[in-house]
Amino acid sequence: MMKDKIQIENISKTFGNTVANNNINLLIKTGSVHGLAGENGSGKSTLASIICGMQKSDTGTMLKDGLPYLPLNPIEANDKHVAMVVQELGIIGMLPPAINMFLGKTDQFSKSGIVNVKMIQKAAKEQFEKWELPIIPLTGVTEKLSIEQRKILELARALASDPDLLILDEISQALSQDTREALYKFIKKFTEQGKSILMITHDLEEMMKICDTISVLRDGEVIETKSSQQFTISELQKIMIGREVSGNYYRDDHKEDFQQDIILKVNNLSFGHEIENINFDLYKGEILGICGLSDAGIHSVGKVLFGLESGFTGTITDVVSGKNLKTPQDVLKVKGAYLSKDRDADGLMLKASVGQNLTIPNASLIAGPLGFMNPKKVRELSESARKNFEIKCEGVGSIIGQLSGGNKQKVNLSRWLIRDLNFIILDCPTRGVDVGVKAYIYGVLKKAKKDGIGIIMITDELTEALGMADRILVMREHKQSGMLSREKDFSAEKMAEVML
Amino acid sequence: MTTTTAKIKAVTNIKTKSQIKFIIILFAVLVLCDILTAGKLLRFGNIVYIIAHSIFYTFVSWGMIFIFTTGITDLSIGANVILAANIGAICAMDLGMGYVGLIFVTVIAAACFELLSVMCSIGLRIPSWISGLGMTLIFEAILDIYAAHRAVTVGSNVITLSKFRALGNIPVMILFLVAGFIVSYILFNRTTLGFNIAAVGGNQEVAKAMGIKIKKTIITGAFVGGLLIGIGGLLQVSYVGKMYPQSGMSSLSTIFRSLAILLLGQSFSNIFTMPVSVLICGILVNGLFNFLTMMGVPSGTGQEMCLGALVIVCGIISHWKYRGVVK
Repeated sequence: MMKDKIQIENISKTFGNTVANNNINLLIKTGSVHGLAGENGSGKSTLASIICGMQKSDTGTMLKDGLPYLPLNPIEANDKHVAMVVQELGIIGMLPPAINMFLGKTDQFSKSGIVNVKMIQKAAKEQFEKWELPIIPLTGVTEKLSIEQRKILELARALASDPDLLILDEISQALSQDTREALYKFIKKFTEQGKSILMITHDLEEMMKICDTISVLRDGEVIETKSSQQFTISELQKIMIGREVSGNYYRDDHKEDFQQDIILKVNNLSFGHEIENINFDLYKGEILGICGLSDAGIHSVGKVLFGLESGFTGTITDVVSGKNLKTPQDVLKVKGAYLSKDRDADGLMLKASVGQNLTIPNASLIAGPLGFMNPKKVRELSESARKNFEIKCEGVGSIIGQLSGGNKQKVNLSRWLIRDLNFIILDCPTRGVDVGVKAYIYGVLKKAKKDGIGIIMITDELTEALGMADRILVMREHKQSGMLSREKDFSAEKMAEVML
Repeated sequence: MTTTTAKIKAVTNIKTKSQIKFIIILFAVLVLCDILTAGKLLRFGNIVYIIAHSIFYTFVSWGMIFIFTTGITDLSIGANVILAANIGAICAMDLGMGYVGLIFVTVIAAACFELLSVMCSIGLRIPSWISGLGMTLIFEAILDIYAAHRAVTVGSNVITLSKFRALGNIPVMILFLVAGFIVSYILFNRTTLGFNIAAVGGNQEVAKAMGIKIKKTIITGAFVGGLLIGIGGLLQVSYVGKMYPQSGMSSLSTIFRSLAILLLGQSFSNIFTMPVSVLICGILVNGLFNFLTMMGVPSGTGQEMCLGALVIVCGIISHWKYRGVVK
């Protein structure tokens, strides 16, 4: 019989008037993967941060391996073999990856005060080899790594403290399918050694596949804890949200369904070694999915299409105006838009208000002839976006950084969709959002499609692409390896055939 | 060979290639400038002169690395170094403490003043540039008060090192430069303090989560930076013989060249680590002034304009392939 790795009793935590955790009781067994499911803002990350010492609970106790456990900071938690990979990226860009892995612990590699960097690199390499993690460069500056590589680095850094309880908060959302497989392999190896994992993910299929036990949190309380085999996805969704999720949130039809007018024509698009010879047409009302394994170059396509990368070859033509698009200004002028993958770093002004985030990209729409902004119009625009896109916040004056991931994404998306658009490029639009917001975003996309907006949806999630796209452009090793049609080719087997 | 090792080698190769490219370009530019000055620029004596002139600015820039990297923008460094060097000179000359007074008092005073300025910002929770400006006025005023008193009692408001100037001789200064480089390189790249400084400057929240003590790191960085600035002041007062009191925040101009070196150094930080970058840029900037003087460009106007242009050009070159907005 499995022993308890950690026992959490009556943990509560409030932030002002907001109850983040209310009387939480939880048991994580030794050698098990325990899933924590819940909507954005249900208190999962707060609970995880209490366990790993990033926050103190107001009340309650914890026992680890039968002994009292109350870490005051992450270092104390590390000392007691508890580590966490946080939801938001937490690394120092200007330091090398190997140093990042042992930051705060570099003293153990120093002699007479001088740190042996080679020893750190060796120890970092050993961690990667020990756990068979996807290889990333360990020298050079960390800021040059991709989001996926940085997530792997964070995992490696957590493992460097030799944890026997590892908390993974939304780690897989940033990973492509093949890296996810590597993560699952690692999780298996980790738990086989009698170590435990507390896993937070919005991907319920993944949760059912990986976790032994699942606890569902709603409004800061544990609603139910059961073996994962005793849950079904729909039941899990229902418990998380507190109501039935109506039907399948993906499309019900199995046919390509878009108009015959071409909006965007992409010919022989290449950018360095990132993408080579991409060709496609985007039709009015079409959702064109772009998928591929990690490092296939799919995210670069989005950046190049929006003009964020200069020096590409080939043409991106707006068929309506006949213009070739080269810069973001060109794209915006022909009623195009782009939603980046890294919402917090590239998409939002985190210290600004919801209203400012909504109005700044749309300033030209409400500015008067001399460029002056009417405060009434500004307020009306942001209030109407907040209402129409169901953004949960105290008011448009709320600082966006304090909102949940799902609501941040609603602001991110809505500020483009309030414009009159011809097409939009979405890079992982549902990354880091819960099932409720996901369903909402898909609903918004279905409406946009119906309104004739062409949508390019770059995604790491195959199910998302299969569920929403009319066609899928598949990339392999930076090249276009196939174009699949919803009617004929949408199956996991066919996808694998062109992807691998 | 494992894939990890191969990747490490690949990254190292890219950096080495950039370094070689940089050195070749630099060499070509130097040769061209030498031709333009009819072979005067690269004469041994002139090279030594350029290096000697760059030592003060380079030491101050090295000090700035340890202070500015943590996110502190201390503008009192100029006033600090002038005050510290004058106190050292007073100890050496007026108080009869000789070299011991000159060396230790200058260096320790600069480190303490730096600590005071930084702790004022941290302790009072005010932006460092504000506390820096405040401390500038205070440091300048202290020296001005003393200078006024000295003018009345001794007949001169400036203390001159008429002896104890051995540290200002060329071989000694070069030795200091080499030692300063080794120390700052090791401290920044091979010690926990150096990594922690980079971490605190990179992201304080992450650094905190990694168990790094933020205040301790900033304060230790300021102390180390202050020591290096103090050595710069020590060598400058030994080389020149005096450092004039300044008022009305004009001491800020004392560190402008060091700031330019630091900025230039940051431009090349993708190729070289900061202490190396600063050393190269320190010599380069002073070499530029030397070259411009030889070319008859007026100092104070034309030369400063060229320095400003050089900073911009180097910034452009270093961010050539960067796609985002440079902050």
